[in-house]
Amino acid sequence: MTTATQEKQAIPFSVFVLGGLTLLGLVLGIYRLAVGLGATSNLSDHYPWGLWIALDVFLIPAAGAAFTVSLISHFFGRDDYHKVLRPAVLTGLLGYASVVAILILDLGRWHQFYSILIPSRINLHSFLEEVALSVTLYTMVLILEVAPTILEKWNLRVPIRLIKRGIMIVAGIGILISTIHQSSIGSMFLILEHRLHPIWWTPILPLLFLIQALFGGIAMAAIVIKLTQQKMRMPVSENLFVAMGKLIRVLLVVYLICKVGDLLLTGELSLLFTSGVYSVLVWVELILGVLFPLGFLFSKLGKRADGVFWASVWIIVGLFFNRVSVGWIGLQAPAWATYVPHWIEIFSSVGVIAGAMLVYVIAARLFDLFPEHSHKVEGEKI
Amino acid sequence: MQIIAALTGTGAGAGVLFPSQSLAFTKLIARIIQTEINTKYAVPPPIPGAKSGMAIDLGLCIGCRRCSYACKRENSVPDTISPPYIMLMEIDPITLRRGSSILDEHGNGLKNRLMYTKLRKDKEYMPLQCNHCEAPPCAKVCPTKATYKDKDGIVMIDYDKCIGCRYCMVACPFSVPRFEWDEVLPRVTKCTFCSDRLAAGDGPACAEACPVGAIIWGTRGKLLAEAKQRLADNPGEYEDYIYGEKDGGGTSVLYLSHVPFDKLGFPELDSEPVSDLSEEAGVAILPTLFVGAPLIMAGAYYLASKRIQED
Repeated sequence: MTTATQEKQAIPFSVFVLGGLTLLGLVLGIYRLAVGLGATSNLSDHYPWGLWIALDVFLIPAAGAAFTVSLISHFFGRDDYHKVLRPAVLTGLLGYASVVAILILDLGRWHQFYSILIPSRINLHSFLEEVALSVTLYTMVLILEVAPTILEKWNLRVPIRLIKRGIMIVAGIGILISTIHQSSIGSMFLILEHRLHPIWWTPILPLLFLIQALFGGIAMAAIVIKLTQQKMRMPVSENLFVAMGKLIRVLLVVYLICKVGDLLLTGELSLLFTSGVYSVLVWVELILGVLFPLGFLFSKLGKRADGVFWASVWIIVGLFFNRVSVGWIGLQAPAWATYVPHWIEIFSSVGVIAGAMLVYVIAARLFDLFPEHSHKVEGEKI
Repeated sequence: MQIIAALTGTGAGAGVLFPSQSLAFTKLIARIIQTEINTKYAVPPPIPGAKSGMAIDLGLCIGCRRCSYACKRENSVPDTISPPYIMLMEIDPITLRRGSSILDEHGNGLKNRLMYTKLRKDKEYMPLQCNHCEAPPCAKVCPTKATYKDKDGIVMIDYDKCIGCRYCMVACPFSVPRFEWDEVLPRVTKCTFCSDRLAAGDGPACAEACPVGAIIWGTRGKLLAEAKQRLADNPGEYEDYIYGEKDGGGTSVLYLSHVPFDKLGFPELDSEPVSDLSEEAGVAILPTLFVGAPLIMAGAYYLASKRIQED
């Protein structure tokens, strides 16, 4: 049920930009599937993994908005998180859909993608299989979680009721699958000890990735919810953002202790100063993504929604640097081999992400993402 | 015999003009003869079904690339799509820069440039192909079990299952698998130990083609014995190490070398299989996750709710 405040607004320019980028991405994606990887990427035998894999490794924790908010609202019983569940879950669904789209672009034999689902072929020793399988399953779970929002519009009560009854089980399975694959993307890199630079490689990489998914997911949720509430001229849930900020900062501290502690215990702390470009990258990801946000969140800014918003933006920037480092730049190749992403790699990926944003913007207008707010009088503080 | 006669004749003629080189050349001839004998008589044919392997004596390799040619012919490897599965690598012993001098930027083979690139005195040469590891990391990480080690010990790829994710390429400590980048539906390619020939009782094409017997094949046990024998028989000629005996959990392709292995770009691996890294660490982390993660969340929740009450 839409509120009186959601007036029919003119289509903003940004939607046209997103639409154009999405269309370009779609055309490039089809072209890439039609002609193969050689003409559409700069990947090579020395750089078999590049931008696409790195983006997937980044988008998975960013899409963790769904499982974190789900966990807190359903299993910790927090009503304030429950009110913003829908935009968080939608963000998650669109994030995972982007991951699958970019993965298809990257797979050389994409026409046999179904192989990952066939039981006789499933290799549980392979963490990539765990990731691919659980991402596929989790996307289906998220579709179920988003379904009531869409089905409401056509008043399809029976399916809605069925889903809502099973929501705890569905959400529970989703959270379990999420925990497994958020850490499994880290585990994927364990066997690459000979390739991944020691400044990132560690046996606790899966744990670090999971903690990043927790605070990254909440940060992403904070960003999306703040923007949505602002654009839709709804009052911003100040108290909720403050609560999110407090949770994020605890997780950031835990992450920092684990990351630095690990380097210290393995005698690799000096790598932070002696590894050239790699050292710089780690400093960037720690300063922008952890220390800067911690500064925000422990100061007066942390008591305001836009303070938490900006801290979250920096967290996502730092996360981006970290995942692109682990998934691409930190993977060693012979010094004389080079890889710079092809423009088709870049614009096809941009197109996928623009498409996800476009769908979100359209969904926010067509469907009710804040049902509990709809019943409140405008202006009342949530 | 004709080859040896011609070589001896040339050697005799050159020996007058170039004394020091002719000594080295004579030594080479002697070793070729010795190896001919070794190959024919010291290594019995493999027992069907037993683990097959190869042994490569880098002290003998003269860089002629006949192995590459034979591999291309045998496996119908197109010139422009991918290099032969056995590649002659040219290694700079100082920078360890390794190349085959016949590849383009995608790592694909260039037409007609296989054989006639001059060999250089300041470089080392060695054939590189899949080492058919005992515990292959490529098979461990393949999501769809497309890569597997078959009953003969050969690491094979089933293209009906392969999704082209290239995890095997990243996981291989020797960077062996190559990808058909210019194909629409590409395959990951590597040495298949000429599995068809093996089924007929013949060895791989490269072993047959090698004129100096640098590549021999047989059961792994017998090859190890042969390698140890050569080390014992030729003290000071080789590095006292058989690469692949235990490295990375052991490989089915063993190497002897006359120069230190790290000068040739061989990675230093523990005797624990690389694949174990994935299992051990992963399993160890599970208790941490399933206990640690809920604890973190519960703690954070407690702190956050306490703070809200204070506000």
